[in-house]
Amino acid sequence: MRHVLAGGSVLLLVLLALPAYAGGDLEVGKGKTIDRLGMGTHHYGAEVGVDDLRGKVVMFALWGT
Amino acid sequence: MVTPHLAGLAKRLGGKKFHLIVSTNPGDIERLAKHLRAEGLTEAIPGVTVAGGAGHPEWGGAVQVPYYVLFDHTGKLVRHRKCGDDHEGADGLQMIEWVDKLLAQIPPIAVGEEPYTALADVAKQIAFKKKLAANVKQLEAEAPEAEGERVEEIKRLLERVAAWRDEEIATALAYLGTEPKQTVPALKALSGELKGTALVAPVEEKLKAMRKAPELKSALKLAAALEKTQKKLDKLKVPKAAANRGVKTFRLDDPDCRKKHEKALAREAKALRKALEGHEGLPFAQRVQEMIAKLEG
Repeated sequence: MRHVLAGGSVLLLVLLALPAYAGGDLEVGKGKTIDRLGMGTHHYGAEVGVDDLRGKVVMFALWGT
Repeated sequence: MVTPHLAGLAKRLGGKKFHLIVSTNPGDIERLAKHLRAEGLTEAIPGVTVAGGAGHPEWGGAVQVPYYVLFDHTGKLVRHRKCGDDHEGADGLQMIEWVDKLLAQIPPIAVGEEPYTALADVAKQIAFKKKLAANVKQLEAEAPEAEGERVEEIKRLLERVAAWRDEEIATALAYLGTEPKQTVPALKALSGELKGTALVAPVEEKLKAMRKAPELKSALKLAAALEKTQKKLDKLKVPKAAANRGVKTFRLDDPDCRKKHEKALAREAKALRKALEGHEGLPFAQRVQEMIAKLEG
């Protein structure tokens, strides 16, 4: 019984910790900057780092096929 | 459907103050690269990067693709949305308009194209919106007693900031016709950026007026009605005939989907018509009318 309760508490904590987001729009606000952009594994085109992008408008496109 | 537009944007702006990073995350980068090349997004276009597994902690990956995220010249994340027109909440091809708007906002000083001598450092900071309010306050305080070339440079800088402020107010008000929920937050954010300066006054005025504006309340109601309809549509089952053709989610432009849910579509059109009553003159009414036209085929 104690294990079940502990498990339930963990699950509840995990659910509470999840962002209120499930496929919709996220709030755009402070601290959300290009500095936190992970560039992934370069495939083709220009090989750039975040510092190369300053002063430019940057579009990150998450695409499917 | 959206990829040719993305390729077109990259070709038009290639080598200018724009950079496009395309990624799949998670997903097969080889497959994506093949698709992108076939649609014309090749390595011959400057300012394009294709990478596997790129991402940003703010959106995690729990999104439906295609999805775009835009950063302005200061590196600030200014907008992110699903794009195309077959997903809930997608904004069509607005990404193109946003890129053009953000490009137009890059101050010449940010790319070394406008001379400042006495205030070069401050101008650069303002161009990248660093300590914006503090710098503006300082300029406003110095203006009455400034001498020499500082007079003209202070005037020019404050005019730049005022012009940018007016554009941002216009953008916030334009949300009334597209995403009314964003109007007040956009004005609040702008007010925060100019807090304590004389330039903030028109923003606060507009914010105060907008919070009480009946047109905003009505637009929010219409947007909620449209969202409700969209959610219902997203829950409609795809008939077998359409599923066999590879249709994965309910589509208003698919004849089999339409046929199967004819009554539901008529019901939703009727509900939207009712919601629209008395609000036909609002900018957002056009969005609702467009949806009604789609529902009624």
